Amino acid sequence: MTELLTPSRATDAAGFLPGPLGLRLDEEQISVRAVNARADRLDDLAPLGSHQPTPDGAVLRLWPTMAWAIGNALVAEIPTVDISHGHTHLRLRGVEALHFIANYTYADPLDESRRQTKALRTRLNHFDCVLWWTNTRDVHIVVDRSLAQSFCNHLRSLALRHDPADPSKTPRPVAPGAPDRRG
Amino acid sequence: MTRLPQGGLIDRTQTLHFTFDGEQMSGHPGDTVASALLANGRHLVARSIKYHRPRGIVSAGLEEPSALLTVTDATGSTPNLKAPEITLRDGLQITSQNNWPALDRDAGALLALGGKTISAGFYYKTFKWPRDAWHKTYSKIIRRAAGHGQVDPSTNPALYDKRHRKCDVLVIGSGPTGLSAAITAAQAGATVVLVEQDSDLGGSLLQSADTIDEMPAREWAKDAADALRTLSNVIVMPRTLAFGQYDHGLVQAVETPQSGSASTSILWKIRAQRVILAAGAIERPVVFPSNDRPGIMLANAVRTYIRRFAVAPGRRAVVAVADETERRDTMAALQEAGIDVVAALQPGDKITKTTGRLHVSGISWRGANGKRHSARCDLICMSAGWMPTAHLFAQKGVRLSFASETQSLRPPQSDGPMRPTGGARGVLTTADCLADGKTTAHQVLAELEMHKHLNLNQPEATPAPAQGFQTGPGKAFVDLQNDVTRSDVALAQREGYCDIELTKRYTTLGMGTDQGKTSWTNGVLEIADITGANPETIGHTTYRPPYSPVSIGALIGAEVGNEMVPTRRTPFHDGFERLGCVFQTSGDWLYSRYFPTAGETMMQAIKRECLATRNSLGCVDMSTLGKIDVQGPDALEFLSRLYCNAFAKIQPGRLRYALMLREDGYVFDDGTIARLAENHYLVTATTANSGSVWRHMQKMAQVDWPELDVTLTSVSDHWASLAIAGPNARKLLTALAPDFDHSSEAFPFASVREGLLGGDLPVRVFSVSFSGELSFEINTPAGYADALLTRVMDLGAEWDITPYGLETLDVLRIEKGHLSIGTEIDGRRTPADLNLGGMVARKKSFVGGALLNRPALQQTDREQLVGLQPEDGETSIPYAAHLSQSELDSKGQAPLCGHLTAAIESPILGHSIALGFLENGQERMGETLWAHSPIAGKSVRVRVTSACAYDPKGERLHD
Amino acid sequence: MLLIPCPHCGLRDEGEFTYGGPARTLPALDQDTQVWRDAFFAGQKPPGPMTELWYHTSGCESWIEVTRDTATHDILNSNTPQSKVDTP
Repeated sequence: MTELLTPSRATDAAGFLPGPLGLRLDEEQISVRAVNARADRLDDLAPLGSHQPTPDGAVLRLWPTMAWAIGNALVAEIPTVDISHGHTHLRLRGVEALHFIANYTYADPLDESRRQTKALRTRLNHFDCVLWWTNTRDVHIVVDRSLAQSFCNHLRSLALRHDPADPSKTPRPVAPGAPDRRG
Repeated sequence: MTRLPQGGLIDRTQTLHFTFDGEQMSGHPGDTVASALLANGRHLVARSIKYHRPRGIVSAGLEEPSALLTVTDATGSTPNLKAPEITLRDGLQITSQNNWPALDRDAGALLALGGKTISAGFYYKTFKWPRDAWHKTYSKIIRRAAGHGQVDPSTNPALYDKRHRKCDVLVIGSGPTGLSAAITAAQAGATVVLVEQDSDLGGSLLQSADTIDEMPAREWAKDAADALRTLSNVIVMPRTLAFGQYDHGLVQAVETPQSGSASTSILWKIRAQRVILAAGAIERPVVFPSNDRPGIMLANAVRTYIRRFAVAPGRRAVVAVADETERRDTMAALQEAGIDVVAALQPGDKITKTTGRLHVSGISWRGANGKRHSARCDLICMSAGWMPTAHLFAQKGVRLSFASETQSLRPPQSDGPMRPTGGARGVLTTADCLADGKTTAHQVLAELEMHKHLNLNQPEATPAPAQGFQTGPGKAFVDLQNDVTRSDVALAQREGYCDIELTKRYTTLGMGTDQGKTSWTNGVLEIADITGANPETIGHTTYRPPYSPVSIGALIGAEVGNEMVPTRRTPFHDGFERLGCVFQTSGDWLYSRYFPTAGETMMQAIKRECLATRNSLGCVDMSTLGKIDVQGPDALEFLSRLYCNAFAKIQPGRLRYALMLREDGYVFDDGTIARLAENHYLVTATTANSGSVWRHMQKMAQVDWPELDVTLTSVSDHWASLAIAGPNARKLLTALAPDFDHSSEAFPFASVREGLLGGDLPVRVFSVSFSGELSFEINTPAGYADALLTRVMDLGAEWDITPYGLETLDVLRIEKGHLSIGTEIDGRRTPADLNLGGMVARKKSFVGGALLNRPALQQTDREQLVGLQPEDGETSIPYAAHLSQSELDSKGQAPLCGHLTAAIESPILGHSIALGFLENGQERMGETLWAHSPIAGKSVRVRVTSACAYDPKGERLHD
Repeated sequence: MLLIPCPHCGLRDEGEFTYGGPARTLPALDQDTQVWRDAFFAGQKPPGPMTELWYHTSGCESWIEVTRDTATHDILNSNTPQSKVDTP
């Protein structure tokens, strides 16, 4: 996709959230195409629940009959719909990034199964969001563009409610034998 | 000071200062307000709700019925906190409640003299007439005389939060049962969360004289807690009260972090596969005459204050404890503290009275042989037995059953997520509790396939003492918090309020902030005693969350102010801010309302915006509409079934207005269907329904018609949409330099074109109109909204382009009689009601078609949409008015025949117009009716017209 | 809050879902009013197991069929939906 103009940002997210956790939140441009097809065809691209990096991007498959082609991921022979501008891509970075998010998501991103898939669509308080991460310190969050500014404000407000000792004072439960919880 | 020279779990190296009713007092870290008050020699801390009797601290836990206090700190004041639940902090201001002028000289106590008159049902019987007097006079007096603390109306600056947590096993309570269960579960590798309401872990072990593994119980508890804290699969949460059990293993708990934390409290929603309820048991008071004086305490509380807080709550104690082991333990504790035990009553003794004005000073009783005794004392330690704390278990609706061997309500065996264990099922000794915790933990681990099944024996519940105390006649309180006496309970039975739910409401037994934690079993036993009924048949009232009061702040969490609900902003938001827009919340959206120029009022702005659009050029944000991309070989068939109008002949590049019905035949939503290519459509949904239309379409595609080859993609937020409207709209479109033929012949009304504006701005342009003017909705990917707006404003300046907002949008659509969701499309209208009957296709089948043909929906005299204009051509029609053929009568009433849905002043027509539903409205054109608005205090004569008041032939849509 | 087993996403909190009513067997669109009326309005809903439609709004955005005991909230089964429309 060639862009003649530079899209404007949807939020003011660029830098550290307030509060003692030292998290930073930044908006980054992203190209997303919806790939609609029967489940069995999409299974060849990426199994349900997964985020699969490709040489030019990634395929995110969190829906049975839809996947997202992120970046320039090639999706042969399946028609796509450009939805890039409908979504805002935020990155939350910091030692406690995923653990912070996990306090508020309805589904637990630190669940054993999701420690493998590292991707999920769920609800964070009142916001529906798509999450994926390569490690727990760098979380990608995609929300509806119209909600994005409100979402950033909300994360700021939540970050204020934590103490410097949170949550390392009370380690999260992990299955025995699992790698270090910050892994 | 009554602080003991040594011992206790307090940090004597630090001193905390606080005030009680203005008096300076001090305590130590580790104290509760209750222990600190007692350490300062304060027993009298409250006045009772009805009789204003002096009351002291009865317990050392959340069951406290009497010592309710108001606590003030930097964030404001909180009333009705129980003294034993408040962790002492430096600088707290504690005040007593329900007394005037002072706690020790309370005028309200005069009521106590005539106490007999305020028996159960007194208010119901006394304040019956005159009718108005209840809310005008009586209730105000009663509320002032009787009641709890005052609510602080100021804004609370404290921060609260709500968080989620998940685990395999949640253990509630950290006494011997909880610690043993948590250790067992943790060692098997389960993820464990251990919540403890207290700041210290250990529960009853903190004041126990027992030994475990040859260690003092308190040290064992500390070791166990430390061991749990080091495990990575265990989260230990002290100061966290689990207050409610919900479906499928969800427990809600509120944490009060240490002072100085960012959040004042945190509500935790903890989802566990299994919940071990190790909440222990509550000691049952003895009911005897004048059993409510300060200095009369539960025996376990006395032991707690001595051993845990190093406080001597008296000097001369009388012990009235039914269980022999506990009696000996209590006497041992008193001796440890150097308190004289002046008498120890034996079960079977009959307590006849106590004396004392603001503090107990003596007790009289008769021995089993009838011999009278009395003793001077300043402390009475009482216990009739123990009651399991199974409240959380019972909240899910499972009945507890009264067991005669324990004389208490006990939970039944359960295979659900929550398992009452230890004290919560009536197991009382430390050794049995340790065993029970382990047994239950093994049981749930086996169920979760985390441990092999072991056949461990479950300890039996500890039987109640064989014999209790007898009591003489006199004012004996069953429920201290609500001043319910034994005679009140008897009165309720005599007057027929025998069912336990009725007894509760008639007497207020078990109501209030403690919800009868200490009183309920005694109440049941009283009823059994009076009526001769078996206590097992009496039952209990409904247990509901919260177990103990939770502050509203904690329940709300961060959802205050702007964080209450998410706010959607359109892509034009920043651009509109630059244009001086006034925004308004409308549903989820923060929408442009109007664009005032300097010094302009809203009404002036609306008028200017309307006239500019009608006469030259306006622009308005349409981005909030739902937009759904529909593709596939069966897309046309799919849409044809979904919408009620026929559009099979629609050509690529054209669009149609379309109406969607619900399955029951009523109008659901309206929008446009644009055919972008052979098998590619874009449909719009109204802003309010964009979510529900999307779900509805998904449902049809996924559930009802999976055989259709169609794909749906929500592109609502991808496209920004700016409508340019007015006679000069096409001139502006030309100026924007589209790369497609946009002449009126090539691009007529109801068409869609895709291309670039100015060679670089990708757009889809729809020639549709909500304003009734020549209009183009220019859609561009949302990131380019600002670029589009800038060009439209710059190039439109030639025609004095005027941005307009929601207010003007509404005026323009009402002038045209166009529909709006929630006002005209209100879920009760057929297409014909909305004058759209002609749109309904005859030759196809569609959702809602069959049920639309129900006779009631086809009647011709239904309410129909009409327009209304003032008969005199100038009077303003009040909104929210109702339609009638007659004037209001002397009572302000009139038979109605319809109502208004919208009323505005039309700048272009120069008078007021309205839309409304009128019975058989289409047949009543030209009739004159009354529009009555009791809210506006106005009745106006109106004439019935067509809904479309402006340009009824639609000539302005074309150029 | 229930825990609902989504056939695509696993156990998820009720807060992620939108309720869609009982799963009904609806007549084909061309069936007459009487047939539709009987199918649409005349259903009995005694307490006990009932198959319902839920939409996983905050998850996979799919409709699923869940069999729930309406008296106890026990979830007995969940599936991707089966077409319930009578084919003419």
